[in-house]
Formats: sequence, C-alpha cells, structure tokens
Amino acid sequence: MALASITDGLAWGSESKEAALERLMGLHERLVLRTAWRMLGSREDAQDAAQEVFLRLYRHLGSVDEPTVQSWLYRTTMNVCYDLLRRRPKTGELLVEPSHSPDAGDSIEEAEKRSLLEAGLKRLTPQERAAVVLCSIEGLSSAEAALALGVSEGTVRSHLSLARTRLKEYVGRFWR
Amino acid sequence: MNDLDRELDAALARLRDEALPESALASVRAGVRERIQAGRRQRIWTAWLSLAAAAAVAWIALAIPWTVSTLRLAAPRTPDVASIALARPASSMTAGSGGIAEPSVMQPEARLKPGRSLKAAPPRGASSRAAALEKVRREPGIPPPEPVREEQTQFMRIITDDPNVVILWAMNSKGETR
Repeated sequence: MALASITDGLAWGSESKEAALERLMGLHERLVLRTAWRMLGSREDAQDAAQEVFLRLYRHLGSVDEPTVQSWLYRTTMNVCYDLLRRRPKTGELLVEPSHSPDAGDSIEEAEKRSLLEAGLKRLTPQERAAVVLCSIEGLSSAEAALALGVSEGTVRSHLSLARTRLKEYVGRFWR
Repeated sequence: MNDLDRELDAALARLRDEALPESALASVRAGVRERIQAGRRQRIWTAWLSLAAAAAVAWIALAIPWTVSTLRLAAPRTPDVASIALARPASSMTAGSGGIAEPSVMQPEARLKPGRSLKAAPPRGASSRAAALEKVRREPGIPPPEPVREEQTQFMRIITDDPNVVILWAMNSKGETR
C-alpha cells in the first residue's frame, strides 16, 4: 500500500496539538501497534512502544508534515522497537504471543499456519524482521522501507531475501 | 515463484489484515493521554519552581545592597580628616577646664611702653593682665592699648587606619605648625 494513499492531506495548523494528536492516533494507531507487535512479539512491549511513538509525535508535531507523517511513524516505530530489543534481556527463545485469537471462522489449519509464521518471525534478526514486516506485511516498497529503516534499498532487499529464505525453511517443514 | 513462496506471501498478507484487540488500542490511547498530562503537570511545576527561584534571587540581589547601606547609615561615621577651629581664644583655655594646654608661644604679647623692661611686667594670667591693662588705661597721655588680636590655632586631627594612632596637627595664624 502506498504511503500517499493513506494520508488524507489535512493540515493541523488550525487545531490544537491535543486535537491533532487525537486525530492522528485515530488514523494511525493500528499501523503503529501492529508494526510494533510484529517486531517485538509481545502485546505489552508493543503497547509501550506505540505510546512512546505517539508521545514523540506529540513533541515533534510542529516539525512533521502531515503528508509524511506515516513514513515518520514507521521510522519512529522501528527506532523505538530497536531500542526496546536492545534493552530486552537475552533469555534465549522468546515466547511467541499470538496477536490474533482464532475465532469460529478460522480453521485449525489456518491458526496453526499463523502461529508457525509468528514463531518464524521471532527467529529472524531484528533487521530481517523489520524488512519482512515493512515490505511483506505492511506492503511498503523497498524505497519506502529503506527510508523508514534509514538504510539503502539494497540493504533492505538483501535482508528481505535472507529473511524469506529463513522463513520458508522454518515454516516449510510444517506446512507441507 | 513456487507454491511455498505464494503460500508465504498469502500468510504474511493475512497478518496485516488481522484485527487488533480494541483493548490494546484503548490502552495505548489512555497511556499517551496520561503521559502527556503528567508531562504537562511536570512542566507547570518546573515553571513554578523556576519562577520561585528567580524571585528569590531577585530578592537577595535587592536585599543585600539595601542591608549594607542601612548598616552603613546606622554605624557611627568617623571622618577621615576632621578640621577643628577653636572658638575660644587660646589664652582663655586652661588645663583644668578640659581644654588643650596653651602653648607658651601662643600667649598674647602685651604692648609695652618703650623703656619698660619685661622684668617689671606682672605675672602672666588673665587677672594680672586685666589689671595691667587697667593701670595703663589710667595713666594720662597714654593711649588705650589696641585690642590684642587673639591668635587662633587650628587643630587638625588625622585618623589613621590604626585606631590607636591619631595625628594632631596644630597650626596658628602665622602658619607655624607643630
């Protein structure tokens, strides 16, 4: 999904900071929380990261243009997630916390596939996971992901290719 | 692209469409609002503390010079150099009256007739001097003596840094100093 298709182009010069933040939270809170959840694998950590992202948005509201706010949110979310991952104690295998509880419409096979995929994402390095989250899940182009991650497009493509290979190796053993 | 690739892409795309729990979103919104309010309260407290500190500094900056000037006014002021002109003639000052002992060189000299010796002069003193003047006035042909021009001695007290050392500078009308 292209960045420009999401932003509505409204300016927040006439409204208060609080009102602008509330409106932007309503527009982008799912994006931020979902990205952080995929990156961190924990609901609590994802909530903390999302709060930190919107607080930073509140502080920098005057310097962020609304057409570029989504790119800014992706970049800030990634930075906050990297910070949390660095501070997180390395205790071996992380517990995979499903972001979606299966409902009656989901088949058992679908639920198992999702759990396997989330477990496979956990096994990637943060850079590889970020490339998969931004490009394969969020639908950004390599250029947009490179802008959000602060790296070159080639680096994004390299990480993405490596991540897909490792994911296929992991889930392929169970999906077939 | 093989089947596994397509299956992986489809599974990843489905992850994006999954609905997030509303409780998680509400928790994020509430946390953001709470932290913004806390930051605002902290900024208000910081502003008040800064204002109070600035007021205290300003009060001290004004109070110290005022206190110093008040103490200076209250303390007895001793001039660096005092000039005292004696109002009373030196001849009328006596040692017993608390004044300064009259130096002999400042004694007023009586006008003497030519030919009269100093030995015959009465002893000096206020009463003897008045008697001598009356005697001269009574003698015929002798003009009354001109009033003796009293000499004035000026004393200058110079106070040094050492409170035990005071310099007294005496100077008569002839410019003689001691």
